[in-house]
Amino acid sequence: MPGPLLRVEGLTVRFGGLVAVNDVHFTVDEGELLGIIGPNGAGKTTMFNAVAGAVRPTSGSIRIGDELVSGKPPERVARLGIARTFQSVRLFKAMTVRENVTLSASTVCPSMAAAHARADEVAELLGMTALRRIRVEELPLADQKKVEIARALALRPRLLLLDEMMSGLNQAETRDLIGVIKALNGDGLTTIVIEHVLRVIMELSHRVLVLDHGVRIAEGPPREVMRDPRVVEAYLGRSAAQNLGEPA
Amino acid sequence: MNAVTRRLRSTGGLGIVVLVLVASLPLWFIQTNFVLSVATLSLIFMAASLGWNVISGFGGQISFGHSIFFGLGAYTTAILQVHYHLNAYLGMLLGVVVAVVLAVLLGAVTLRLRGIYFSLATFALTLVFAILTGHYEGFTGGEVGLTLPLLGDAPGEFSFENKVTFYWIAMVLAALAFVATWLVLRSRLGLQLRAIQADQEAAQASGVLAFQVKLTGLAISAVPAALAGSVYMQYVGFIDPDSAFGATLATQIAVIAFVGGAGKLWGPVVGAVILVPLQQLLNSSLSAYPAGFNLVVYALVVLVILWIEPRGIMSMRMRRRRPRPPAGGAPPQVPDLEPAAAVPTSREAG
Ligand SMILES: Nc1ncnc2c1ncn2[C@@H]1O[C@H](COP(=O)(O)OP(=O)(O)O)[C@@H](O)[C@H]1O
Ligand SMILES: [Mg+2]
Repeated sequence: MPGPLLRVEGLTVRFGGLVAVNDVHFTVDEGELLGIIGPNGAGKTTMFNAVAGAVRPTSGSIRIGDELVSGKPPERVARLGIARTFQSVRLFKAMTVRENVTLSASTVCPSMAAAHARADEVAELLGMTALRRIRVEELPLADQKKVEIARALALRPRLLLLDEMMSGLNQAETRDLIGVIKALNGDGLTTIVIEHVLRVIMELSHRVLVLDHGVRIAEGPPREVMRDPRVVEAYLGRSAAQNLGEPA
Repeated sequence: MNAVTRRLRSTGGLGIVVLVLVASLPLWFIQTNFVLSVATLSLIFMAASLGWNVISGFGGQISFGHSIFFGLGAYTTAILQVHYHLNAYLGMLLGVVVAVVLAVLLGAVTLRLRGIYFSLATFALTLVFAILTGHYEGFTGGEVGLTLPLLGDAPGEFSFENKVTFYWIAMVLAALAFVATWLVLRSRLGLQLRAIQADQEAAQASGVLAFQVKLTGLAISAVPAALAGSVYMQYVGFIDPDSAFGATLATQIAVIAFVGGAGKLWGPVVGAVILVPLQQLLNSSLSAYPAGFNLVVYALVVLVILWIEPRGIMSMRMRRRRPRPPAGGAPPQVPDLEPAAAVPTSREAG
């Protein structure tokens, strides 16, 4: 039997005196969709950064398959099949949609012709073929977020990391994006989703991991985790009371 | 106007028109030695600036040290010719090799620096080269400089009595540099360099091997600069540490591109056509005024151009088109309640 696709063990990230991620363990199985929630500043993004190689772990190990990821620079991690989006959209603004997606395809395709073909394929998959020639800075936020997903998909990732994709989107756009993420995962793409909006996490995730102050305080199926008293206290006790009812 | 704009965008066609015009210039325009010399120098510095555009314009790693490669091209040819009587063309080739090797070595250290720190490091390095060439007199002629032997008309030794020949050589050099940068821009390397300029972290997250890409970009960008240095050497016949590695040349290569439009294919072309003649004119016409007055005027012109359009002359025509609403490809936009979702409007000053 194959082991989990991603295995994170004893992950700790310190920024000076601040422990942003504190001895976190978790695994993600092939084809699974893991949700990560936690209040602002809980260390969710930092954990993504560590997995993606953008931040060096203070200690602990991260593996994808048998391959050690921790300690590798982000471009190597990307080529190992871990693709990510950024919490605040970080596209190449002055470039067109096609150029943005071709760029990441160009790092894994043997030729530019193959990279263009890959980019067009991904654009079609996400229903963005009509937008190919538009410069991304001219697109509405919801489309920009989709371009971020497209850029990540062009790498043919084994694992997709999505950081708060729904922030700043209205209800219809959120619905649309949930559909996209579900469809990708339905096709077998292993995904980790960080979300602030609990409703989204409840709908998407097979399993949920809860972080608070860098510590894993709960993990399990969405419904059970939401009833966990520690989660209710960490989450509702502070900033996020509005998130339960909020349509984003 | 619209037809002209469309023509400008199809670089290939325009390139040929420009080439034919420029090539025939000596026949109907350039009659005096002064104008011929200005035109030749413009093309030489244009080539150096086109090289600069690869790593600094496309890649965003602003170099104030491309004079290093220009100077290495000039000095390598000259030293090999003067001390070892090597063939000038061979010297030119070796000049390119030396410049590329140095680009890789210096880049390995400096390209790990970001932003202004890279720029400062390259600027400091070119001044170091100026000091070193001044110091090792036996080889380089020291502060006095090196003068090539007068060979008369010896095409096999890159020596021509008729200065128009140098004009055409410089033109071929600039044309080759232009085509080379155009090919880079269309290539994988060009796309990855542009991505690094836009957002290096995001590029790396997309798998771009940022350091290798920048190193390759710097090595390529050293080639036209080194060739420009070699041709300059053969044309002028004299080089000293300041004209090879000095602050004036170091900044000039970059400023030509900035004024024309850094990162734009035509930027260095436009910049060189405006700035080099201006500089030569000021040097000769204002020589009666207190020293440095010509530089003040030159700096003022540069400042005014960059004040009108910080992205350079090539962006000026783009600006007028900007306020038009986005093309019809996108679906009509419903006003969004979320402030974060608001599309940034183009912030035009005037
Ligand atoms: N590069 C950094 N340097 C210093 N502190 C950081 C850095 N990145 C994040 N932090 C801090 O780490 C903590 C966790 O941040 P983050 O991972 O962004 O939380 P979340 O994504 O859960 O909101 C916060 O206190 C934040 O200020
Ligand atoms: Mg975050």
